Order: sequence, then C-alpha cells, then structure tokens
Amino acid sequence: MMALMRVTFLEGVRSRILYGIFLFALFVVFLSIVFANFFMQDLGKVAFDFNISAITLAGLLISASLSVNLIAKDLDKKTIYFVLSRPISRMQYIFGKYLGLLAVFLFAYLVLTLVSGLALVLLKNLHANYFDSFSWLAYLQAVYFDFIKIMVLNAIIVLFGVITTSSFVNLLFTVSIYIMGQSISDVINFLSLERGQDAVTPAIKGVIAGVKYLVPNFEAFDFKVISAHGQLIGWGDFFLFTGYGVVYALLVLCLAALIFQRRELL
Amino acid sequence: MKRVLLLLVGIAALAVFHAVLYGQTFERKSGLDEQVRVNYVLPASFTRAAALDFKGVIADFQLLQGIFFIGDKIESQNRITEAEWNYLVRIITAVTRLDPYFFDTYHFATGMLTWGAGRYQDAINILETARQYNPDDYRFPYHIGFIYFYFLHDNQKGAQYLELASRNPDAPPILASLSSRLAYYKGNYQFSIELIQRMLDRERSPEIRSYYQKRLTALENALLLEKAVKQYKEDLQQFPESIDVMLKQNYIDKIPLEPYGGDWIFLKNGRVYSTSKFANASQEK
Repeated sequence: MMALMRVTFLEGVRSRILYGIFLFALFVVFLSIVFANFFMQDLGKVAFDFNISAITLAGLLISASLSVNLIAKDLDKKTIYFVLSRPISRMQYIFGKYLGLLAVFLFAYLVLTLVSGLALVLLKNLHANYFDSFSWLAYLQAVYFDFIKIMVLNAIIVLFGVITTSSFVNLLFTVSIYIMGQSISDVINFLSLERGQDAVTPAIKGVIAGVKYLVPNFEAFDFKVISAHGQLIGWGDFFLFTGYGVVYALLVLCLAALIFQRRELL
Repeated sequence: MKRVLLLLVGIAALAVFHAVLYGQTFERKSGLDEQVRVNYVLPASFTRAAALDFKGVIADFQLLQGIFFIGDKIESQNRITEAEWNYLVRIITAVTRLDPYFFDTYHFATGMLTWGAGRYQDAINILETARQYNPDDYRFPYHIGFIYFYFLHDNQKGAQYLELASRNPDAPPILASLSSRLAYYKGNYQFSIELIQRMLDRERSPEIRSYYQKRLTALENALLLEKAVKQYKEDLQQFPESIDVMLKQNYIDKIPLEPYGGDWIFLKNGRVYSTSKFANASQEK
C-alpha cells in the first residue's frame, strides 16, 4: 500500500497541471498585494482573504483536474491490472491511491502556505498599523481546515471514481456534492426561520432532512471568515471538526472499497 | 523570410487597430452603462449561499463596488441622491452578512453616511450592529461617541460612548481623558481638532480623508481667529467688531481660509463661527 501511495504521490507532483495551478495561485497571491491598497483599515483581513482564497482555489482546481483522473486513468490505460496482479488487495489499492493523493495535497498546501506567507510578511511590513487583527496561528487554522475539507472532497472523488469510469461524470457529481455541502447549512438555517417554514413543501423538507446526513457539511470546515479576524477556536472544537472530517472521509472510503470489491473490471 | 515579415507587419497593424478599438469600446460601454445604471444588489441570503468557500474575498469585492461607486460620484462632483445612498446601505448590509467582523465596511458606511449624507441615525444603527459582533473593538463606541458629540451635539451620550470605548484594554489611554473632558469642552474647537486628528491619523480612504481634512482646516482656522480675538480683548478691553478691524490692526496677517465657502462671523462672547456652519453646499440642500 505504501508503494502505491508513493507512486501516486510521485505521479501527482510530476504533473504539469499542478505547476500550472501553482502559477495561477501565485497570481492570486500577487493580486492580494495590489488589492489590499484599495482598502482603508483592515488591510490584514483583505490580504488574508486573498491568500487563503488562492490556497482554497488551488485545492479545488487540483481536485478537479488531478484527483478525478486518478482511477479513471488506471482503468483507461489498463494499468490497474498490473497493480492488482501484485499481492495487493482492492481495498489497499483504494486506500493507497487516496493516501498518495493526500500526500500531493499536503505538498501543494505546504508550498502555497509558504508562498502566501511571504506575501503576507511583505504586506505586514508595508502596512504594519493596519494588521491589528491578523494572526499567523489563525491563518494556519484556516489552511488546516481547508485541508480537512479537501480530504473529505477527495474521498468523495474516489467513491465516484469507482462508481463511474468517466472522469467528467465524476467531476459533475463531485461539483454537485461540493455545492450542496457548502450551502446545506444555510438551507437548514433558513428553514428553521419563521419565514422559511412556508417556503417549501413538507416533501422537500423531508428530502433535505435526509440529504443533510448524506452530504458532508463543508461549511463546518470553513473558518476563513473568523480566522481573517484573528479568532481561534478552542481545542474541543478543533478535535470535533477534525473528527467529523476524518470519520466522514473514512466512511466514504470504506464504501468505495466495498463497491470496488464487487466491481467487474473487465 | 518574406512570409514572416508579412506576418509581423500584420500583427503590428492588428495591434494598433486593437488599441484604437479598445479605447473606443471602453468609453462607449461606460457611457451605455451610465445610462442604464440599475444599482442592484443581490439579496444577502443568496450571496451568502452562492459565495461557497469564498465569503471573505467576495465581501471584499462587494465593498470595493460601494467604495468605487461613491468615489466616482464624489470625483465627478455629482450630487448623491437619496436612492443612491439607499443603494450604498444595501451593499453594506450584504457585505455585513458575508463578514460581520469586517471593520472597513462599518467604517466606510459611517464615514460616508455622516460626513456625506448627514444620515447620523443610520450611521449609529450600523455602528451598533458592528458592536454586537465586535464587542472588544473600541473603535465602534469611539465613532458613535464622536457622532453624538460632533454632529448631534449630545455631549452626555458622546461622553458615555467614549467612556465605553476607553474601558477596552486595547484603547489608547487618551480616550479616558477625552471622555472626561467632553462635557466641559462643549463647542470647543481645540477639542474637536484633537478628535478629528486622531481619526485622520489612521484614515486611508481618500474620500473620508478629504472630509476630515476640510473640517480640520476649518476648525484650525476658527481656532486661530479665536486666539487672535482673545489677544485683541486682552490688549484693548473689548471684542473686535469684524474681521477687517483685526486685519487693519495686524492681529492677523490675512483672512484665514474658510473651506466651506462661508464668511467668518464674530459673536459678542468672543466665539468665532462661519455663515456656512461648516456644511457642504450640497449637504445643506
């Protein structure tokens, strides 16, 4: 399994797509230096927003380009037979691929955090008086939870990867789940309001009540707004949200492994 | 070789043609947009859901939209209508839903609504919302206190809010002394100068800075005249009747600038005011 993880990681970091995305993220980081000057007081917050958005966007783009092709490519190029002919179970294949992907993301997030960190240091030195609420720890907090989100999202990509052979269909499903996961908490909050009570039929309410347990609550990993103002969450919350992400990702991966066990590869 | 040369000439000609077309389309499109400016703001609940992972940065862009809109109006010296101020308030509401902790939103809104629109109660309401989300930020009660003192002439409430601001551990020590002096220095120019200077020192927005700067010049010149009047009274045991008398007797070198366009008037108690009441002509309308 570790060998498979290593191969996946090497394949990922050698990809030209990854470096294209890095360049794009660098461009967004550069924009933070330009755009921060348009604001009046909370320049630290604006610089934070741009830099964390660059990382988030890069994470999503890598998921949409590298990750969705992961299993599809193996099936397409028939390399999967070569892998599975070795003493490796299908479950190990799924987990090995997934861990390899996480290693690629870990590498990408480390590089991007470092680069965006340099841009923030520069801006902080230029406008020291306007970085009152900025906190490095809060920046790392936002990056960490964005990584947890990516971890969950990639587990979903692996699941759709074993269900469908088309990487495009996988992408469509994953984007749908991502949008649903990002907005589900807003929908639930709206329905709990008085004016939301009559907005939808009881049948739709029933569907939403079921969907909220199926779809990951990505909003739970979005600490960007509060982190931008230097606010940190407690250790209890830290473990709670991390635990939720890890358990959800494991659940989805086990489901993917189960489907993959029974899947006809010919 | 010939073909390459031909291609290069073609590219150069197209580049020039493109530059001309770009300039024309840019101006034409801006003109068309100006004719049918809708000034809509997407409902905050929709923006929040649609912003996905990018709430913070979308809040930044929405606020920029408001800053550019008002900046453009001020620069072109167009009078800002009631509907346009309402548009600004809608932008602010949408941005605060995306990021209720963003100081610039409140700062810009209150700066514009007080100095620009004279909508003091709206500004206080926005600042009160800001206080709910940012109870530890001394700047919000400071600004509310300033509005009560300076615009609404309610020194008691002004002192109350400055005192509230001064209780915050991050608040500069000067706030405590400002709040205690507030009631005593009613209508005192020196005191107002100190308050505005503090705000000007941290201000980066050119629009708000110009408001502060203009008022500061007016107050400093009024203070200069009051000091000269005091000297006159000490020397001649009476107050001067007009500014010309002061000028003739060399108590002042020249008539100080009144940036709001009014004339200086001397009251019998030695105070100096202006016929403009330090208000912009457009604001008075």
